[in-house]
Amino acid sequence: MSKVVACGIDIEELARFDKHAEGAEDALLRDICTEREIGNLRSDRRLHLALAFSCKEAMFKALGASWLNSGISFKEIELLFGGPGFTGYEIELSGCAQEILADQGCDKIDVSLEYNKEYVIVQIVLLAPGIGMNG
Amino acid sequence: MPEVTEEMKKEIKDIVYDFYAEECEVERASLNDDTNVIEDIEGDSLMFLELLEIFKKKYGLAVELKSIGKYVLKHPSDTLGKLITLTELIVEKGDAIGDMD
Repeated sequence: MSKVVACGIDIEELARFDKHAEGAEDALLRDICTEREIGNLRSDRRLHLALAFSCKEAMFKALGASWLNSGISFKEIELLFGGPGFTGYEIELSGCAQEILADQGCDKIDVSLEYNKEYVIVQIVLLAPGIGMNG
Repeated sequence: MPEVTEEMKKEIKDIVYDFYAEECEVERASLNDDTNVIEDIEGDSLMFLELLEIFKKKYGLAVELKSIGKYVLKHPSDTLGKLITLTELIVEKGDAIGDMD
């Protein structure tokens, strides 16, 4: 049994990522994603970028931080897909993000991704060994 | 890194004001240096990243977000005026901005 330490939720409008997914324009992608994430890029580039950004924002919120106030970099939060399309996902932390997670005693990250034609929503739940929700 | 001239300072201010007026759908005339980007006009993280991309492209900057984050950690940039100052420093210092006190 695990206890919930914190959660973070982020919602993004897909249309806001249109201009970042066209042609060779990949500045935002290269700013927030690691080489490993870029190598894992799915064919729906706009949806992938929106999910990655939303996932990182949700993780910042769960850690009680922002990239502008914590020393955590977007690239310390990686979203990787192991299955076809946007399935089989997992999140990996490194650097300051990993340190903050460890300081909170967390040993597990529960990630939930949802999307439709207009929005993506990501929920991150940080879990630690324990006896229940508030135990 | 380029020296930030008075002309560039004016250009930077114009770009920041025009960008937030358009993205936040507010009148440019309603904005001033004390406008709080999040609380007053509902700016967000993605907008700031997009604004940085504009300046990186315009001035050929290769600054890491982590360096900017380190500076803002010590110098919160929550108003348009502070964002303009931050932008001038990014243009002038590049990644060295992260080592500034």
